[in-house]
Amino acid sequence: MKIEVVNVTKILRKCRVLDDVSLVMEQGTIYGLKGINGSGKTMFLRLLAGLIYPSSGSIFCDGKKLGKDISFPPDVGLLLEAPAFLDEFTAAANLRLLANIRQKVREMRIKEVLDQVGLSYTDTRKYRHFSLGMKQRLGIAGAILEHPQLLLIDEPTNALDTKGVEMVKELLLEEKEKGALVVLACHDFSFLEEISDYIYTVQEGKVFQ
Amino acid sequence: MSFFRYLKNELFCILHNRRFLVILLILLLLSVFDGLDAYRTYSDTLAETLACYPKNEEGVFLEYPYLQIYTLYNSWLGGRPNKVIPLIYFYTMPAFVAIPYSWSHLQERKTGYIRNVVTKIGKRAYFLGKYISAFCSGFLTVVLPLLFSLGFISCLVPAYRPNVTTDLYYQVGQNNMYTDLYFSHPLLTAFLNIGIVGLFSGLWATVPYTVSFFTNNRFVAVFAPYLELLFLLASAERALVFRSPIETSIIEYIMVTASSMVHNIWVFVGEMLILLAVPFIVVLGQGRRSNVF
Amino acid sequence: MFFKFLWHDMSYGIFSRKKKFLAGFCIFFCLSFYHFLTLRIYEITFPEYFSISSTTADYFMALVGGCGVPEIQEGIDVGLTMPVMWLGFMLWMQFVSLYYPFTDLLGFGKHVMLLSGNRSSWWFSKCLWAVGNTAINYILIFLISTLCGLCTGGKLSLQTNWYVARELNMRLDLLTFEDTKNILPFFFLSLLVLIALSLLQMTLSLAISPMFSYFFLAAYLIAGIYYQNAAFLGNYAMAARSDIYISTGLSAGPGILVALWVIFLNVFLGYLLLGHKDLLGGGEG
Repeated sequence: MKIEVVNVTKILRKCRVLDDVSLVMEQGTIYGLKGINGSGKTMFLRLLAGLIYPSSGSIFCDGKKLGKDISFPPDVGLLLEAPAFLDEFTAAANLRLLANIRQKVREMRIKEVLDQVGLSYTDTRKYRHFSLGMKQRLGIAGAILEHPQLLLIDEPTNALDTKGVEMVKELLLEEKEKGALVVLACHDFSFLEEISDYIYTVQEGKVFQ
Repeated sequence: MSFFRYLKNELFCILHNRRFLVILLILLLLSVFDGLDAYRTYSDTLAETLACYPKNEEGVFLEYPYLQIYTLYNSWLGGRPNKVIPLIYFYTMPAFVAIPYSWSHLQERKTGYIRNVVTKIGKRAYFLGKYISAFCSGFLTVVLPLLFSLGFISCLVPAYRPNVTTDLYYQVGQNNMYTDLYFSHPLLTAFLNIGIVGLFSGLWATVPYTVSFFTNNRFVAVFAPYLELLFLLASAERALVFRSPIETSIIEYIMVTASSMVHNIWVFVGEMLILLAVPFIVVLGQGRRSNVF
Repeated sequence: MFFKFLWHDMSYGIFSRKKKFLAGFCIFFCLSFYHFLTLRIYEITFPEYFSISSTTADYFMALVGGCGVPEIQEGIDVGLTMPVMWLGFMLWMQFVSLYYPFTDLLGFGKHVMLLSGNRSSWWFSKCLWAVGNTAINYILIFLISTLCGLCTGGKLSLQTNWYVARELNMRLDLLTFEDTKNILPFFFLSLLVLIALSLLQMTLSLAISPMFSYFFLAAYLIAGIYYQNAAFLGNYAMAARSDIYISTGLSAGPGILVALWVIFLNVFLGYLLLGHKDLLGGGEG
């Protein structure tokens, strides 16, 4: 997968959240985004996911224009802002509901990914009873469940202990090895430095290396 | 194919939704209480009839006993006239069909779960899928207790065919759109009525879903349409009083038992079409917008 | 500390909720204006029924009067005419008190409660909020209906005319007055009952959830339409069932006592419930 961002500007409620951003991102690479709160990192990730459209400029995904030729990148895993699942269901049931839509993965993969993030496949607790750290782990599991070609992750280390942070690092590197294009926004600069192939700074809407 | 799998997921979520199960339980209990009350009325009347009406030596009634004044068709939840439980059932219907799943879109939008799904199936498919699942949740919430009531009462009260000479006991008057069918094919009428009630409740359940596009407050999404419906019913009633005998209240149309007003099938069809068209158009329109999730 | 709570609730829970007041104003203005316009047209078309010109009190009564007792017997063709306007009014009054305590408890109010060091201040402040909120909304609706009455040519007066009883399906032979009657006693009784119902809803919201509490309250009010009984508080908020206007109505005196009893019971029960409730947060509704 190849993502091309061409002169993208996004204006939201009269505020220029992204200003004339241009980059090219290739598969099998981890791109880190750093910046202060409110700099536009999450907005950029939303644009790449196709959840919002640029006010001007274009984003191409393997040559196809987002918002025109395709609505969303064909194979994307997301963890934006806080993890989001259904309160009434367990971790496994939540992942099963997501996996059922495209049926790209089987039950074994659900078990495998829950083990990888440190959650139990047989845990009967509902999502609403999870701690913040557990929710974050499930969020990561949900993002990597189908080995997506494009992985967009926002603050993956939130609420995680040291072991959890190591776990995230290993998983993201594993996905990169499998050929995923990973775009990662994080406040933890040391984490970004360890894992990213390229680090971009987002500042006042501008993105530069 | 993803869309149908998503719909399957939604059906699974509806059937495992705690609110849906609680509402269903409450309505089933109401059906049971109403059924027991209907049976009590029937059995008291039967005992009185057996005691008062003279019989010959072979046990045949010498006078016509009018046993059919209490029959299955005016004892089940959808057919009982002027009783408190059916009244509660029909007049709180716009509220309780919305509670289980109509506002799930609002919930998913607020939590961000919508992102997980929309990136897999697309916006339009998501919104349409939610419309269908809101319809299904409303339909199931209402139809299951009605079917249960019909089945429950059929075990207790005989299914005498209603007799026109005792129509006061059925409250299905000549102005009612169900009248002809009720006296000729009462069971078919009961099922047709269940279907109509289910259709109304399914369509109504899409209204809070539609409202949820314009508000972040779940209580406004769920209950504001109900209040608006009550005010519209009151206004329409007011508009036509002393001017026209035509019934305008959609709730009176979906009840088999009569209002004193005249039923006009086109008024009913028109109201149902509005209920279908407006939410559907809004949902389709939302699918085109570029929303920030 | 308690007065800080109260100030926060009054300013944030009532006075800053402009959208809600605007919505209420628009709904009841349109409804009232339309309603009263048709009454006025009827007055012009059938002047023989109107020995005295319609008053603003007539309009308010038509809005909140309810309906007479349904005389339903088996096999007799006397159906119940649902007082949809009254039901809508009552449910609106409960709706405006529905979600503020709940959202406050799960949100900002939780922090305030922690800082205050006790739960009871939060609860009692909310009770007073419910009283204030209900009263303000009720008076607002009364003023709107009066304004609409004046706009459509009604006379400004607190006296209601006998013909309103026809609208409310009351038995005219049982009326306690011949021409006109003052609405003030009923106005205050109705307000007391509405406050009692708001507090009942608030307590139920603590015990079950706001959505289900609203549903149960709607069912309770509809049951009260069917049965004229002191156990159904809604009866005391219906002018058509009050002995102020009809001789077979429920007495206002016991009605006041019942309402006060419900108020105190719910304040106390709510205090007990909140004292033992886990404040987990989350989106339960």
